[in-house]
Parts: sequence; C-alpha cells; structure tokens
Amino acid sequence: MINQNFSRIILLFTSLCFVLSGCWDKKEIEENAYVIAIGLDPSDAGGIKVTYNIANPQVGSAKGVNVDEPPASIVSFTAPDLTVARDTANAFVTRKVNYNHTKVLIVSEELARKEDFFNYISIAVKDRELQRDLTVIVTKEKVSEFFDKNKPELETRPHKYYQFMVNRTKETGFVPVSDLHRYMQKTELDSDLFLSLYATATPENQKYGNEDEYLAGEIKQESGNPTQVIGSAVFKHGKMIGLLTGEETRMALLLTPKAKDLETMLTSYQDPLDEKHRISAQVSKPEGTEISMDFSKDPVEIKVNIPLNIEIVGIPSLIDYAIDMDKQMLLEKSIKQQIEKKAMELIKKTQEEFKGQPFYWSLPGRKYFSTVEEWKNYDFDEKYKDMKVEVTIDITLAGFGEQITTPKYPKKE
Amino acid sequence: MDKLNDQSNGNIGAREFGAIIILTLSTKATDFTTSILFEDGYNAAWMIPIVSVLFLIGPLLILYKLLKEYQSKNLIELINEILGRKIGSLIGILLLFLGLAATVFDSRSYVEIVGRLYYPQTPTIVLYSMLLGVSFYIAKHGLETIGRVAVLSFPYIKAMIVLLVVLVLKDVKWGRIFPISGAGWTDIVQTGFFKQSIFADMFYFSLFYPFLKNDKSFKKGGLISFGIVIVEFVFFLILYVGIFEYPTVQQITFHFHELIRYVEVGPYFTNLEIIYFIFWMVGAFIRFAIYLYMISLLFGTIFKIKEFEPLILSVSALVLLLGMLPNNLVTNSYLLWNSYLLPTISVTIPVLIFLLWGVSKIRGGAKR
Repeated sequence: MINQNFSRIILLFTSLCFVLSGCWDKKEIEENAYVIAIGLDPSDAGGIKVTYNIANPQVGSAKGVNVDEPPASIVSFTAPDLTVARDTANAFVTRKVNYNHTKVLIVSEELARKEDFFNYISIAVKDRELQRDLTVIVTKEKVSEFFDKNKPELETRPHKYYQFMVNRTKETGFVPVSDLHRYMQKTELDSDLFLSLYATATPENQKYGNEDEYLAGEIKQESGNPTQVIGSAVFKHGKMIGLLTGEETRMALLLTPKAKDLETMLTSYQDPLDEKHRISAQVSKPEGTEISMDFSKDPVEIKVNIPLNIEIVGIPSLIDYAIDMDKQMLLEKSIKQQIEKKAMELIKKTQEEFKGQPFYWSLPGRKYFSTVEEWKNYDFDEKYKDMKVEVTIDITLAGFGEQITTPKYPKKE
Repeated sequence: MDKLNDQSNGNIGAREFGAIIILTLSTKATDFTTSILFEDGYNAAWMIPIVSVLFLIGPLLILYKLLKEYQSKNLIELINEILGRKIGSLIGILLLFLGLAATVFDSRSYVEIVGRLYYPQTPTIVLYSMLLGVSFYIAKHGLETIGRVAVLSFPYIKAMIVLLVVLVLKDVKWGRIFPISGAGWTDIVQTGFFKQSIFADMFYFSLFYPFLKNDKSFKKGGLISFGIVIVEFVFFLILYVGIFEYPTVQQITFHFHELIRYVEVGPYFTNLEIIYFIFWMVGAFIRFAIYLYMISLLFGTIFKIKEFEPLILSVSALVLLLGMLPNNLVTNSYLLWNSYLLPTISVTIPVLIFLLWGVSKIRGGAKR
C-alpha cells in the first residue's frame, strides 16, 4: 500500500519536471542570442554605448553544420543601461538576447574614469541573468574598437577565448582576480581599492622590459593577435583612478592576506654576482601573508610577512649557486632584498598616488574593531596614507630546477 | 485498505519527526529569512539564532514538561485544559491566525523566488498552484506519509548541501565575520529576542505530541533535530558572510540562490543552480505539506472536527487565495511581515507558555 503511494509521488515529481521545464519559459537554443561579452563605452548622446559579442552556437559544435558562419557577431548601439539594452538590440538581432552565459563585462578606460561609472555598472547585480562572478575588464581604447581589433586565432569561439584568457592571466598573476562581486563589495565597504584586469588591442609605447614590467600594449610583440592583457586598473570609490603594471599587480597579490589567487609565477631577479644577467625563478606563496597591525601607535604600524617558495629555474650567468652554501646564502639575501624593495616601492606609490591600498588589508584590519560602526568611523582608507608599513619576506629556496648543477661553459680556443 | 492508509494518522517515530523538523527549519536558511537577519545583525547575523535559541529554549522545555504532565494532549487541548475552553479557543484562534499568516507569507515568498529567478515568464498563479498542489498531495496522505517523504528525501537534500559547501569553501574568508559584534551587542540581543519566532515552528510542532510513538521519541527527535538545525543555520549565515562580505551581504535578498549561482565545478560546469533548485524545491514541498497539515489540524482541534484531513484541501485553497493578494512581495508583505508579525509572534509564544505554566502550577498540575 505504502509502496503504491510512493510510486505515485515519484510519478508526480517526475511529471512535474516536464511541466515546470516547459510552458511559459521554454526557449530553444536557436531562439536565443547568447551574449558572451558585454562592452560599455561612454556615449555623448546620453546613456551608454553597449557592444555585444554574441556567440554563434552552431560553430564548433560536434556536428559542425553551417561552418561558413562566423563564430561570433558584434553589435554596437546606444541604450539607457545594460539591462534594457537587451530589447533595444532586438531591433537588429532577431533572437532573444540572453545574458545567462555572459563571461566578461568590458568597459573602456574613458567610461571607468567617469564619476557616474558606479551607477552604470551596479545595475548589473540587479539583473537576474547576470551572475556576480562576471569578470570585469578595462580596456585602454574604446570597447567597440577593442572588439574590432581583437582577432583571436586559436580560440575563435568567444566563450573559450575569454575563459582561457581570464584563467591563464590570473594564474600568472599579471592581472588580479576581478569580478563584479568584488567590485561591488570593495566599493560598498569603501576600505580597499579594487583592481581590475587591464587589456588593450592597440599596442603603444612598446619597449623592452623584464618579464612583467609592462602595461597592456607595451610588450614588443612581433606577430599574433594584438590583444595584450597585463597590469591592472585601480578603482577608488567605484571609479578608476590609476594603473598598475604587471609587476606591481603581482606584488599587490603577494601582499594580500590570502594564499590562493596566484599559483606559481615565473619571474627573474638580478644575479648578485653578475651584473649582466638575471636569475629566473618560479615563485609561489604557500601560505597566506601574515599581517599584524598596531593601532595603539601613531602612525599605525603594519607588519607584513610574506612567505615565499622560490625555485631557481635558470642561471644564465652559469654561476654554481646550488653547490656552494655561501653563494646560496648570498643569493637568498639578494632576492629577499630585491622583493622587499619592490614591495616598499609599491606601498609608497599606493600611499602617495592612490591614497588607498589595493591589498585587501581591511580583512585583517577589521579584527581590531568591535562594531561595523567603529570600523567605518575609523576610516582606514583615509588613514592608510600615513601608516608605517614594514614588509619582510620569508624565503625558502625550494630547489634549483631539474638539473642541480649549472652546465659548464665551453672553453674557447 | 487504501482508505485506511490514506487516513492514517498513524504514529511517527523520532526519525520521521526529526527529519520533518530539520527540513522545515533548515530551509529557512535558504529563503528570505537570512536577509531579515542580515538587515539587523550586519556581519554578526550568525549570532542572532544563537541568542534566539537561548531565549526560546527555556519556554520550550517548560512546554514539553507540561505536555508530558498532561499526557496525550496536543497543544490546543493542553491550552483548553489549563485555561478553560473559552480562553483556550480564543488563544487557539490567535495561533491559527498567526500560523496561517506565516504559511501565506512563506509560500508567497517561495513562489516569488521561483518566479523571479527561474521562471520569469510563467504567471505567479501557476507557480503558486504548482507548489501548493504538490504540498497538498503529500499532506493529504497524512502525517505518516509526510514523515516518510521527509526521511526518504533527507539524505539526498543534505548530500547536495554538503556538496555545495565543499564547492564554495575555497571562496570563503572566515575573517569576514569581523568586526565581531557587527552592529553592536545590544542590537544582536534585541534582534535575537524579537526574531525568535523564526523558530516558532518548534512551538507549533507540539501539536503533533499525540501523534508520536511515545514521549521519548518526541523529546529525542525534537531536541536532536533542533540542535542540528541551529548548527546548520548558524553555519550558513557564517558562510554567506564569508563569501559575500558585509555590506554586500545586506544587499542580497536571496543568499542561497545567489550562492548556488556562484558555484561552479571546474571551468566547464558553470550554471549549476538548476540542479540545486530541484532539491531545494523538494525541501519546500515537504515544508509546506507539513504547514498545511498543521493548520488543518489546528483548525480541526479548535472547532472539534475529528476528521480534519479533508480540511487540507480547503486550507490549501485559502492559502493560495490569500497568498495571491499582495502585488509585490518585497515592498508590501515583507515589510509587514518583518516589522509586525515576527516580533508579535516572538512575544506571544513565551508569554503564552509562561501563562500556561503559571496557571497550571496554581491549579496544582494535571488532574487525575
């Protein structure tokens, strides 16, 4: 008897699946236009200029029908905000514009620097289709221009392109993790600066530098897709106020309390025994950065201790550091000093130029306060510029690459 | 035979009772209850349930003592016996009104969540009838069936919750619960007192006292499950703060649904919310089934209707009718609910229990 009842209930549940999945909200994939990237530009006529990168679901699917069609279509128009833009777009896009699979929100630097930028972007969190983990990217040029010049060769399908771009650049630490959620969070709490990915498809001021001392567009690139993603845009009170290079972004990530976010990064340091060469190393942060603050002092003292695992992967000067303890100590000390110097430079820059810190130090800082009210009244952001910060690096030399000794230099005749 | 089974007001054991309590109360961590708590408690909202329980546990234990003393009486019969039929009926009607109001508000808010987040084109009335229809179907088979459904679906729902926690754990920064007292200690204690009605279900569950196999299963099922619910509730509030952080956590209305949208497994499975949605709905069906059953039972006891189970259909229709009244959940009913009904229930329940206790003491306890 009871079994019968249960089979009835199960039948009801299953039939419910059919009922609830259909009816009013049914839409075939073909009827939807999936916007992968939304671009926002300022518009002189009022409102904002919205650019859509719409994926073509027919390209790259297993069956491979209609391969002649382009993988994506780009449309650009003016609308009051990005939520209502959906319907406006239907004047020339025949399908229902759908944000369910939107991966990135790209804004031009010009718009990001405007006073009312927060008004435009905060609309996105109220939209039910847009997810809070949407990646925010700032481009140097206008977004419509960026879309035109950006011609990815390996990943022609747009969702793959943005997914890979965001994931890989995040791993290298050249760019920060910057989603819409963090932007809202940091802007609303107003104690930290927000960092966003910085990209461009217009190369300019190209120069030679070490591996990460660039802003997007500055890397001397001979061929390939001109789009470069490196460095970060700095936001204060929800508005863009400056830029950090790839190197500074990496340093900022090392200074943040959490351990994750950057897995390993390849970087180079000056060889202490050979001025002409640099030593390449793979750096990782095994644990979170320790940050302690002393609010009883005036100015407030902040002590930062960054644990780092460093594996030397290349010694172009061919000096054998691995088998000589003295040289090893010298190397360790030299790297430590180099990183500490860089860190202090960045802190000085944030204190003087930005008058705020992008290191998420509000997280350890708020522990010293009892109520939200007290924390807000203290105005950490405002007081930061006068704080005394001390950075120490705790290096562990994890290894010397696959081969311990360096190759011997061939004797010249 | 079938008839007999359908009308089964057969006893349930500690397991069924516990599963019902956990599913009913812990789904509250996934609806708009959390946004009420964050509004007053800021990032320290997780302490509010703890404070509430400290206030509520005393009266609840007293109530249990009374139930045990006056064997085999449900809540309303107990009130009638102690305070007399006239006052008893009056209080009964008040409790009926509050319970009905809670069911209407809760069910409407669920429909609102479903409509707004998952089925924007579907008319509210369709979603509402669907929710109440299924809940009615479960409820009409009696308490035993509700208990069985709860026990059966319990491991699946909880396994999904555990999986969810595992998936989001990497994004949680526990340090976000600081500053430790949020809006301040007085605020937390105050809110904890006035929002103890979040757990008012525990009070209403004493209606089922006679339906339990024995006194021990009521006590065991009730206490253990209440403990689990509190731990789960507090953990979820901390989880929300650890992920969304103050002040964003205050801006979000439906934390659980925002959270399941945030979840992804690797880079390829990104829109997983619909899987969680199904399990969440099953929890909701059971929750409203028990509410519908409870209200019918309440109604039946007050108006001396022995065969109260046919009433479930009318109660479901009434809930649907009342629930369709407000045009807009957030501005109308939510404000009304949060600022008037929750505090009212919070004060009513302990006062009523102490009154019962006092009068019972004066009259010298259970007769016979």
